[in-house]
Amino acid sequence: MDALFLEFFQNTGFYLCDYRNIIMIIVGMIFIYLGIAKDYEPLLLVPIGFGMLVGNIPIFKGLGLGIYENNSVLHYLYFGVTQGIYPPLIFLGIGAMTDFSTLLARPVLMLLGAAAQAGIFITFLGALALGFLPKEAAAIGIIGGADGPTAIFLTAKLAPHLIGPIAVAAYSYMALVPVIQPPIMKLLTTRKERLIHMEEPRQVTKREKMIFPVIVFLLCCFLAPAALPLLGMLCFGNLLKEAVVTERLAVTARTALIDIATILLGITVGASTQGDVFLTHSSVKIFILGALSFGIATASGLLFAKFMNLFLKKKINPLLGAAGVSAVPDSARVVHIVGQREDPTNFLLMHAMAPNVSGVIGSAIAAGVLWSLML
Amino acid sequence: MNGVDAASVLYGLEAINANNGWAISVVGITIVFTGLVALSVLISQIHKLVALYDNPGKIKKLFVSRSESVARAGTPKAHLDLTEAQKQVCRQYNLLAQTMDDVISLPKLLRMAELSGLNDPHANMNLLIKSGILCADEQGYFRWDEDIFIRTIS
Amino acid sequence: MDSSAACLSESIIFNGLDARDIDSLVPLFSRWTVMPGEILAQAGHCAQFFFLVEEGALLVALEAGRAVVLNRPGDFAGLSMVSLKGTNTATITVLEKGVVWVVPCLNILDLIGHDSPVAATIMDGWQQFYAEKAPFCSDPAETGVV
Repeated sequence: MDALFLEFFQNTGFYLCDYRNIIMIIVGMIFIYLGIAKDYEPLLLVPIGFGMLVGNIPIFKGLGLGIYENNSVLHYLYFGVTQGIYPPLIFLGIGAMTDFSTLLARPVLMLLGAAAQAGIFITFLGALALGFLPKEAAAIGIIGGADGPTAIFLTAKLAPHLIGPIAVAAYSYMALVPVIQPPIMKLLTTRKERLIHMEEPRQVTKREKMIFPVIVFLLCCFLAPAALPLLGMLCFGNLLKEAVVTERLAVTARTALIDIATILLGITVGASTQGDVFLTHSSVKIFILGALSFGIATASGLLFAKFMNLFLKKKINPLLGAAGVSAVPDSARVVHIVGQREDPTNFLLMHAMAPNVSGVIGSAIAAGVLWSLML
Repeated sequence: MNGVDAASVLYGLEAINANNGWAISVVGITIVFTGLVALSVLISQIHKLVALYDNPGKIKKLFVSRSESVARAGTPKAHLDLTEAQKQVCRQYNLLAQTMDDVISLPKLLRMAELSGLNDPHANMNLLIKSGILCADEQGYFRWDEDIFIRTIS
Repeated sequence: MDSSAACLSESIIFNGLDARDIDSLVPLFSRWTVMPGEILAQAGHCAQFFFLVEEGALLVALEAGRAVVLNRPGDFAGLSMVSLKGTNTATITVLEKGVVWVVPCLNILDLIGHDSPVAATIMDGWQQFYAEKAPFCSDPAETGVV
């Protein structure tokens, strides 16, 4: 009987536990805490955080429980991540909930979304310099796009073994937008610049909004066909929203479908962070590069906005450049809050949504470009 | 770094050069920029395409000879520099126009301006037409051109 | 312009006529200076005059809220655009101070009522002008020029 108890004990998590599992469980609990108590991207951090708990329960290998075991349930769910299925579904939902009016009203702000993508390519160089292979470096660089689904999609295609750290880094930094961006914004702009009021955007007609996703899709996918899965779904979702007659489909895409995809993606990405697989030197480097990438993307947007002001008759508030990273709508919200701290009558949210959504398009194009360049 | 012999891993500029990093980055950011610049140019024209769709007559106009179009006596679109008082008038008429349909009946707008007690409604309506804010469609009605309005009053 | 001749020569309706024919029309026209808000013709009233714009702008208010703005030298507020069988079908209001050349309806109707090269030229010009200015109206011939 003692032997039975001993055998059972040896199969429990207490016996199999590794210090790395404990670290990841603590990280998972911090994620859950940040999501619930601090309201930092709760829809992402809570599933990922709980996924970390799930993935770091020490298990007896061979029982078909772990996410990396071929016959486990989690492995099947993880299939949607490794094969890049969930990100396009999430993009479908994002498209169905995004209003591109401000972008249509002031297309010039789209350039800010392009400028912020410089962070991706600078981080790519940084990752190469730190010894990563080109495909890994490309996957790490995309963290600077501040777009979780895009980062996961590209990593699944180029460096599937890095999905865990890259996804966690991407979502962590997205959640930390309110912490990371404001100091950079203040550092790179003067008070006078932050006080700039934006002029009222023009009214955009429904027909323009309907034509927009079709044009975006055709132009961008002809230019970078590898962006097809992400941009295709984004534009399709947006067309469903704007077409009115397909409202029922749009409602499903922006509610049930995106929620299901987010739950499955969050929990499986979290579960993929098993301590023994996740806590490596590479992961530490990825986290450092991710932070760098995010910072560079924010700075690129801000500096480009200031550059544009050299030529624009009607100056734009350079804070909008920080919204070029595609963490929708968090970075736009941060821009608004920072602007309002200087002048409570300055409402930048609506204007910041333009570079913000163009950042989504820009990072999807960047992902497509990197993918095709790495083939 | 997986599966790569640690001794063969390159670092720093050497790694970037060996993996063609500079070229990939430059090409990458160039494509992203080109794509978004082209997109912004294209979407800045969408409202004009929509206006053409709403006004098929305008397409026809593109193909008629210049002399004909001069003789056509349409509403001039030249950008006028207005005084502050004139800009205020434009804003007042904008409010009136907002109460009307997309297509505006000029006599009705004139009547509403008179009823609202606006000064010099005839001359001011002429100002709106001259500035291109009110432009004729092919059906005998007029449209409020929001772009010109914003450009004119700004 | 000191006489209506120059204005007639600028008009798409009359510029097909040769100088001698234009000179013969000049005595029919008299010069009016018009002010904004002035009503030159009222719909439903007996048609008396047609108006050739030299300067300024006229608003021709048609049926169903439609309107045409005549603001170029040579624009002509006349014939089927403004009248039918001796009655005004449109109200003509002055939008901008200017000068118009006024011609009695009957003189013009007499002129084009005869089967002559002058009448044919004027009607050709008129149809062209009318199609450009008021393309929403049906064929001028059907609206009853006279």
